[in-house]
Amino acid sequence: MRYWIKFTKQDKQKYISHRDMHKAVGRVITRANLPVAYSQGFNPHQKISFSSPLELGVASKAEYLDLELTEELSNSDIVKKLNSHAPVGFMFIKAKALTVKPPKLMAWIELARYSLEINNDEGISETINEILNKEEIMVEKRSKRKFRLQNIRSFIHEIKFCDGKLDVLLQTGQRGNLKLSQFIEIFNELSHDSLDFSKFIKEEMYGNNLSQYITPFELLDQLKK
Amino acid sequence: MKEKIETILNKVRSPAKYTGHEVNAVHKDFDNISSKLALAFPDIYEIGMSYPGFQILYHTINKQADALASRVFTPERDLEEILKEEALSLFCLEYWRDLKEYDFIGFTLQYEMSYPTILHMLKLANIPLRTKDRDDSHPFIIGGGPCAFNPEPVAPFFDLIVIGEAEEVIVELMTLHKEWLANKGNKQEFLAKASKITGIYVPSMFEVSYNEDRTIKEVKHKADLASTVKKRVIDDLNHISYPTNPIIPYIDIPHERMVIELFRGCLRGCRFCQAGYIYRPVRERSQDVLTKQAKELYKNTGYDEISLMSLSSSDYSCIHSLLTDLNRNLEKENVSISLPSLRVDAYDIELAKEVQKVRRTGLTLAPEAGSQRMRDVINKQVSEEDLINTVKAAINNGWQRVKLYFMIGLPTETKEDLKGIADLAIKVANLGTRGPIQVTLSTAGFVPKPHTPFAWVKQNTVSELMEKQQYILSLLKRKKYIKFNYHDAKTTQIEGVLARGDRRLAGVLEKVTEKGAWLDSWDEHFDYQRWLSALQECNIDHEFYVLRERDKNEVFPWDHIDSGVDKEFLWKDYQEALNAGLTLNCRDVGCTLCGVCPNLDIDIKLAKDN
Repeated sequence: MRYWIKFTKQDKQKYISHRDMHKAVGRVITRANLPVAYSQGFNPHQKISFSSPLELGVASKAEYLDLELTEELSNSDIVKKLNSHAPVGFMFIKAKALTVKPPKLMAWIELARYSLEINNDEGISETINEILNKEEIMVEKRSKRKFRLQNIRSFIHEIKFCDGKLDVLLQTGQRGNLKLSQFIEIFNELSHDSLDFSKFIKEEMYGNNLSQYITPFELLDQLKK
Repeated sequence: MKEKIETILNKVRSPAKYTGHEVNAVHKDFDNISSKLALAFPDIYEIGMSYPGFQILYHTINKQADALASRVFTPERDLEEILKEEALSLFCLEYWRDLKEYDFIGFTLQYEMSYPTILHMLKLANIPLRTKDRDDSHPFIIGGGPCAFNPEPVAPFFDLIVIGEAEEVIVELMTLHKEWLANKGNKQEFLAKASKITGIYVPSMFEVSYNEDRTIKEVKHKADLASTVKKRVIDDLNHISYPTNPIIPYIDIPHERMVIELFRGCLRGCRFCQAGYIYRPVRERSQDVLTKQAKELYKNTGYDEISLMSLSSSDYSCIHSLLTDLNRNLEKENVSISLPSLRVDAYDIELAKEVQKVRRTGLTLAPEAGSQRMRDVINKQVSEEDLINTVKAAINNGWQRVKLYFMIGLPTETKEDLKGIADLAIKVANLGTRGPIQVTLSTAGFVPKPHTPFAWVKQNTVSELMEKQQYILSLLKRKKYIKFNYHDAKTTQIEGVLARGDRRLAGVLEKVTEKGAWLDSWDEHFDYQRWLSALQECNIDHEFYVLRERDKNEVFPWDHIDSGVDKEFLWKDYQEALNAGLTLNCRDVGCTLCGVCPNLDIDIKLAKDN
């Protein structure tokens, strides 16, 4: 049975790289004694996969993992077992059994929402408008030892400021990716204040279904219908 | 400080190794704990976290209600630069607090080449290096580990040094500290009391005098209270705590696996091996205790490999039934078992076959010397036939690559013995059934160590070692299936100076650290010229320490450190070595009169006798 599981990666755990997190979560699953499925072959490994990598140093309230078990367990049981063996900073929020075959998490997720509490909001609306009114924002992208310039304006989907919070929706995943640190660089260049990277948190991730952006769990609900 | 560290970590590589929040890391209420100890490893995180002893002490201390232990490693250059820019002191992982806020900083003395890194870390913590330059406001700088058996080159930097096994001593020390705090004593009072605990050496209480020929005249307790410091040894390993909840690093480290410790001590008596003498006598853990620990470890870590640690694991008296037991308990969990430090006989291959169900790629063997005569000199009781049979058995069982370890520069070594190394490697390679198999041949330059029969020996010069390396290399020409590695002869030379050095070298260590020495056990950081100029500036002739055969009756810098093994026994064993005579192990042939059991009032303990 396959499950999608939502979890957080907060506090000091934001300093763990994606690769190391993969290993760490794998060990949580082992310690929790979940009947995880193993791949066949010379060097068997646990059948788990993750949503697109979170940038090192950014905390998140919404990471997703795809887990295959050899037996069926209740959603709440899985969450309970994982949490009793998870290190502080990792919290498993919800698990959902897959009843139909969904797309791959990594491929499906396209957007990430981040938020940041701001102390000084002077001139912030101007900065937001300035960014949103641009047609072209060029950043350097590195791929296979080559540098090229890329227009990432379309990767910035939303910037809002309300209730003392900056709310940003950025493109993420395989079809284009804007790192939060790159966004902050762009923002800070145009603003009076400078945003602090370490105070951002990822709130949620979305993918597209029937030309609507929805969360992975919403997708599972829609697929069921 | 915490806020600053938070920001800093976004600017460094691998920040996960500085957070102190790995699984099983212990966090206590810092301000309400009386005795706080920072366990310091003078190398980078990845190396330090691979040492089981470090984890043992961490958990032993943290089990005490009134004490806490935190970890600190030498930071990478990127973090070091930022610390300096921001005028921050070196901090401990768990609490992100300045090292100066601790009561003790405990350095592990694992290898001589780490000494400059110790001084480097003290500097980063803004703590004066020498004991005499520190006052009551500074933490006690303490040490322990194998190099504590000749701590003299670093003695002026340490308030106290633990000689031998620390699990019990460290708890006694913490208790003493709590009492001392309650009585508001000064540092000297604490050290005076601590020095009465068996296994604790307070260097400042001893005075060294020298002869005109620069050798040591006498090492004397200033108040004539003791002539030697006896090592601490644990009688029954079943009764001390062993961490079955080790810290699990997030980042990759060389040894990511569970470790159980089968026994301490080694009954082999290889004459070059310091560990074989300083950890005597052999004391095995019982099979039940080990199996229980293995099961707990698996539950608490989720690792998929378990290593059976000791100096010679196949010598464990119940090895077969232990392996059966472990296999039964862990096989279904996809856990593989590894046996490090295998000897070279077919019996071991049978064992290895039993344990290595998967990943049968490389076999590592250490014949140590190339000829039978040379192997007899070093008391490595292994014959060429053993080695050949072992490799044959390994090839038959699916191994495809062999690593062979040798030493060069051993006492009485001749060209024939060196040729034997190359010959043996070629012979081993040609045991392949379908053409020669891959052999990786590694040689290390021999460094005579304190408390061994070779403590009197003149070490090879740099050029002698280099000639020997080239000679072996010349014999391996056009043998593409043999990869030949050798240790840098210059590092060997400096390691030798420090290994048998005395207090006069402390100034050299200060100087070389000032010149930038750091992580000198790493080839890429070691700079021989830096050492030579530091030695020269301190007016010290390093050849005095390495290139000199010592007189039978010479007073060694470490003679006041009592490992339990008699010096006369070591001398006799050295004479035996020069005649290529063997000293057999005491389990099979009876007591060899090394002195350790009566001197420490202890006995060999075997699991099979339980």
